[in-house]
Amino acid sequence: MKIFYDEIIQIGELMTHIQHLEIDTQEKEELANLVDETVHHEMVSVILTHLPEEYHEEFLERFQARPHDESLLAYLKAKIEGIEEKLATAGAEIREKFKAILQSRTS
Amino acid sequence: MRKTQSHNQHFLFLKDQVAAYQSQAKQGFKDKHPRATQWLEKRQLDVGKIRQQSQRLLTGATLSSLLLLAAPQAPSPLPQATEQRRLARVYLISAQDIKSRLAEALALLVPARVGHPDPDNEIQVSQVIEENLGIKVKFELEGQRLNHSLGYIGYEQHLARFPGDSVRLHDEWPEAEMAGGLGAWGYFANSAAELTPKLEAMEKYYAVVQTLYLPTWQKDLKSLRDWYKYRKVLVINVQTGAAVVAAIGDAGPANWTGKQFGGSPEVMHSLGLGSSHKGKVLLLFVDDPTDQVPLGPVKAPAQLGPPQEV
Repeated sequence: MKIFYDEIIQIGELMTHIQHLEIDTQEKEELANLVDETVHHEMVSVILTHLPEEYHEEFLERFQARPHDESLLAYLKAKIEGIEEKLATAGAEIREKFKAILQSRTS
Repeated sequence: MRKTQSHNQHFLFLKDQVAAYQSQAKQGFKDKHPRATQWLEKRQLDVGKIRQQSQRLLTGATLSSLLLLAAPQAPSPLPQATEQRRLARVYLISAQDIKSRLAEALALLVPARVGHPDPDNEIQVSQVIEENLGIKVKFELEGQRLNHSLGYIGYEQHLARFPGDSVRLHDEWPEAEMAGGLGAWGYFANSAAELTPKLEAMEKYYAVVQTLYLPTWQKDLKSLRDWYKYRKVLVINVQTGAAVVAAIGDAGPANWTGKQFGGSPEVMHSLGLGSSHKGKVLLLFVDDPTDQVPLGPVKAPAQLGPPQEV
């Protein structure tokens, strides 16, 4: 299941990092799961921070019903100026944080 | 061996780091958006699990498909063709297609009679359901098996959730009115204030099964009662493929009624049996040890709506 902001935040890049780790497939899947969950918390938080509160419920309802639906982006664009850039910036920050974590090793 | 341990340590280290970030992100979300958090909690929704929840409900696909989002040049140990076919289904198959396909598949596997499918077909039935709805179901779970998995379901009334509850306080279907007595497990909560969204959902989507006719019911009353209390079941209208996850909330119906199961007004309407008040269903235990499957109608991609109050 694709999420409408997957491409904006380039989630694939993070998954590539996980794919290249020298750990078992199951472990990769577990990490991918944790990373994915964190990304959603961060991204939805960014959206809600910029979206007027009166639209929060409506957005959450639409999002949980059809998280893949690209019309969600159009919906957000109509309500938040520059939302794509905001999501891209947040996505880049999240990617960098995860990259740093995934490249780190025990001392 | 040393290499394996070293890899494992590396994984555990990474997992701790990612988990710490995750925890921080979750807390940050809660702190910044208390109202949205409350809205999500009321429906037992977890923003972090949006991909999993949708995916599992729709296709039964596992998280391994997440790694397919990796760039194409990445070497993948996964059976990509299979996973990609699964992902493709998410986009290409409509809600109605899934229902119809489920109904068609079940028609070949379940007999017209009341009771159970042929033993040889039970595994296939479970597989077809998991394949189409992404929900793991069992005819027999932890040694428990109902006398019927196939039978007729009847329209029940609302149950009193707490002392003083009335039909006005129920969200929908006031015409169903309140049942005269309490459900098999008594009140769902001691007071309106103690009625959590989860308990509310259990009444809203409750099923009635004939525990009273189980062969060892009287002998093992205490343990069986605990086991069956609010046990999750999947109910499928075998004619249409409409499905709903419900919690066992009452015992019955009596044999003389000619029905084997009962459903709350919400369950019956979700099954498309709100008008007829009766229909043929398949009812199976949901194998959900970590309580991941929400109560309520099982919806497919095009119509996936809020799993109300769960």
